[in-house]
Amino acid sequence: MQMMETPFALVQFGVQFGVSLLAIVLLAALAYGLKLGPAPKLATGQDVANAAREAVDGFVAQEWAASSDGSAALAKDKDGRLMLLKLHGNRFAGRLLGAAASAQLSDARSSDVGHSGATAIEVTSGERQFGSVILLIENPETWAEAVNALRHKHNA
Amino acid sequence: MPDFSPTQYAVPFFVAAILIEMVWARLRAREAYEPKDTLVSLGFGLGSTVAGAVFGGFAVAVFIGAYEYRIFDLGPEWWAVWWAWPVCFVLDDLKYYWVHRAGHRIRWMWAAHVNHHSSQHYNLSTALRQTWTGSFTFGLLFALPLILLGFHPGMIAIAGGFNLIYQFWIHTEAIDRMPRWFEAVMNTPSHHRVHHATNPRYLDRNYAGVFIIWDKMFGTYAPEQESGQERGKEREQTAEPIRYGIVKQLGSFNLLWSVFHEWIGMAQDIWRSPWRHKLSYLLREPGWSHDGSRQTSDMIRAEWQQRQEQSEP
Repeated sequence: MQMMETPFALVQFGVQFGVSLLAIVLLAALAYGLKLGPAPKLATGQDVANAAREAVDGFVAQEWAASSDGSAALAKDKDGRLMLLKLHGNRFAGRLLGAAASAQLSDARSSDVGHSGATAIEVTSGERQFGSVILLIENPETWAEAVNALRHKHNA
Repeated sequence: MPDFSPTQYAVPFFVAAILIEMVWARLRAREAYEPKDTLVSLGFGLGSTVAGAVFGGFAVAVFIGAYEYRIFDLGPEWWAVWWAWPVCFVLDDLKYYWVHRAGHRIRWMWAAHVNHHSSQHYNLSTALRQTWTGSFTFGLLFALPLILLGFHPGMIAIAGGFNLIYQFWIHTEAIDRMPRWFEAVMNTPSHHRVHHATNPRYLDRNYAGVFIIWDKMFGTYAPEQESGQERGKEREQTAEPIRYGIVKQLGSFNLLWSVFHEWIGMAQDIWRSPWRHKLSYLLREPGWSHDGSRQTSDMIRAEWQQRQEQSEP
């Protein structure tokens, strides 16, 4: 009896798994089709300040630089802490940058986004899964210097 | 013993309800859903059924073994004892409250439960963001008192199934408030939005499954703020928008990372910490660190409260 039931249960489970997987793909496709999840933009200092405060409660951005496409930003608080914000789906996620973070000027050009004063900077968060973020900002050298200084600060 | 799993029968209802909520989102709040987030949430749900099938046998064996030592006996036809069902359902919900509370206050348990909170969205697909690793915690121990009282593991499993089904519909922003009497007794979308919030005022609140009364009884209840309700003071202001997810948002849609990130982080902390602190990284609250370099939810709330007091005129 047990021998009969086990293969049947496995087949039944396999069918349920397959149907569920199909339903998942269809629901996700529908979410795409309905154009759900429009991406917000970090357009103003207030946008950056809000996103930074939401990422780390109590973080008050005093200086900021938002990427010209509105998808990412760097912010600095009065204690000199640096935060990297990036668009994640249609929400923002942020990280306080530490010694593992780094930044370098990138090959991407401001003409890519039609913003005359912007140059690209690639900021690596130091967390593999959070990854690195390319921002098109003004004065990228200053921000790159600030990010790279964190390594020396922590090693000092 | 009747072979019945209520959650299996509920799956078509889950799919239909998500479809309806997506249409609502299209018409009223397109930001409520995000396709990749939905895909990850549903992937969690599917994976959890596989994990349950593969690892759930251990819990069943423990429960069947423990049932032999029951204090009261409902007899061989326990499923026919009608009054045992509602009693079991209520006691199982009380058990759920405590296992859920432990899931937020003990990092070992949180490593599994964090999965359910890792979305920055709050919709019906989030409800299906179920853990894959619950079998690797000691959560099953919370059911032992019920079994020793004489409730058959099958009865508890069915009660737990209906409990889970109830909790599905409360994962939505489409419903504001239920009637006052309902809000007073039952867990509702409003109460559970608070539970999924990362706003300091809401951290580690509203652990209830079906009945919100447990939170009110055990001091963990927090109502969702409404306009002009700021800390009970009479002043006009808009309610603080709820932010969903976890204190340190993942920032990744990698399903496997989403499943295992806290286990990996906990293992790294245990490995790197001095011997006398290793057990604390397993058993203390999430965010605890031996060098004070991180923040627990209590610390975050305390800092927030301090800032609120300083900013008041």
